[in-house]
Amino acid sequence: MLGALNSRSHKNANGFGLVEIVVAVGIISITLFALLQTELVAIKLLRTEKENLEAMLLAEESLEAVRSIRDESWTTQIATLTDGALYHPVVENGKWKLSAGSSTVISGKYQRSVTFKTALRNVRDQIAASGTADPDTKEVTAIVSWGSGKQKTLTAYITNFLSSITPRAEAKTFFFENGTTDANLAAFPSQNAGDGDPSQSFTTGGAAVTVTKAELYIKKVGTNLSDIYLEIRESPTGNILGTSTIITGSAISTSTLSWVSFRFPDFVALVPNQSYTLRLGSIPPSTSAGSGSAGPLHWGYQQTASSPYSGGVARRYIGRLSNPSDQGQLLDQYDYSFRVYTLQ
Amino acid sequence: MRESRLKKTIRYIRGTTLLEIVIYAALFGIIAVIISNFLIQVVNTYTITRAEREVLSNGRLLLETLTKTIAEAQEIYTPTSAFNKDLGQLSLMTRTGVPTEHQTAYVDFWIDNGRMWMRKEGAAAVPLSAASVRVSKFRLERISQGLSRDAVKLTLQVDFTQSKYQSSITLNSTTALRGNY
Repeated sequence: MLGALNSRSHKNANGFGLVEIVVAVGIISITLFALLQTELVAIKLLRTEKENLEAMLLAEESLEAVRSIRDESWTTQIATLTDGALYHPVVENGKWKLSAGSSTVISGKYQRSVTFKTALRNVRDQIAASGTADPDTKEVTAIVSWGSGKQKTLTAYITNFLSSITPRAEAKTFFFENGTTDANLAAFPSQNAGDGDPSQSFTTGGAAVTVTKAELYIKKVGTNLSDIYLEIRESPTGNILGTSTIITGSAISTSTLSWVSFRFPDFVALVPNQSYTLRLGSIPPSTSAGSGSAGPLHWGYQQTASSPYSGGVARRYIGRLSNPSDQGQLLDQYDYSFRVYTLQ
Repeated sequence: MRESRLKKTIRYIRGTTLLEIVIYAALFGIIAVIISNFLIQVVNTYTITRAEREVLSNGRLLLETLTKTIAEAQEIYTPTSAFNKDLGQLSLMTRTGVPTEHQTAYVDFWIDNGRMWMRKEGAAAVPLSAASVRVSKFRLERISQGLSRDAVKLTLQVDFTQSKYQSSITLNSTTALRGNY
């Protein structure tokens, strides 16, 4: 009897324990599975949000670019656009520009485009679906699309609000444009060799001037050209008076020499009857060996027995091998093509 | 009689226990593997969620701080700004939040060891990004549209520090300096 009781209670206890464990494990598994699913949904949502943020910023950037272009000039940049046609903003020579068609793929997946539509105004001068066309107002639609049919659209209106303000004007003041020889004179930017920078000097006239931009007659030869910028200095190795915006190497023409603008966002004030130097620099610096600088570019020049431009001289190899006081080599028979613009 | 019953009982208990142990062990093994697998997955996905969230919130905060400060600025201070570099540096001259005795103040942004730092003139440097993320790209381009329009185009890439859980965000933005509009 005792034995029977014993054996029964044993059997019972064991059997119950097993079932209990299976049930408990089942519940735990279901809970964990649910948790896992929640996390997976959270990840999916976060990734979607990330894509949305990236796309939204690209669309906002399109609108910002369009506003910048509008500020530059309504008549030459915005009024000439075709209604309904696709454009996309690109940075070229340190400023925004609208190119036709949709953009190339950005950040591996996004494509963006902008369309314009002339706004219509009703009799009360409000923007309406129908009415008379207002040439000074455009509806801008920025579209960013990615993946399979995902899309973000932003719409805004731009107006020619600067039309009543006379824009500040600049004019070509100092220049030498005869340098049309297309050859490698300066070996700049040097291929990692630390060969230094080229420069061209010019002399101011009888009046004090404020420099707003300079243009150089250059072309790209190497496939990978370093980014370049221009400095105005007191002398080839003297104080830096102004530094231009940086021009992306990939934006420079490879076929023929062309005028590339280097804008000085902080205008440079120059005193009368003084010699100044335009010195090209690159990022990474062409002056230090092994920096990773790549080139070269050709800077159009002219050679005559007596220096072709009387106001200045050309130099090359300035600051070579990381020596900031190296004045480089004077090219007294040569001059590079340049244009310096001043505020009127 | 009593002896034979005892024998039977012992045999019964023994037989059941052995079979039970085998089944129990097998079941336990399978269940343990499933549960631990589940647990590892839950922890893994939790870390991935954290990575995505950290990257997203840090990226958004950095971009908003930068674009707001740039938009309010009067001008870019060129000597201490580094453009067209993957880890750039930006110095701005601003009229907002300046010490009372000054007209303008300088604000600097830079990357040190994967963290973005900001310093306002007269204040200590503060880190803007969390230690759990790495700012691997802070590329600035200066856009000069015409005579008086200055803008900064910036590309920001934020990665999660633990390389096992990869998460990354790339944000592009252009902001015009409206302090001089």
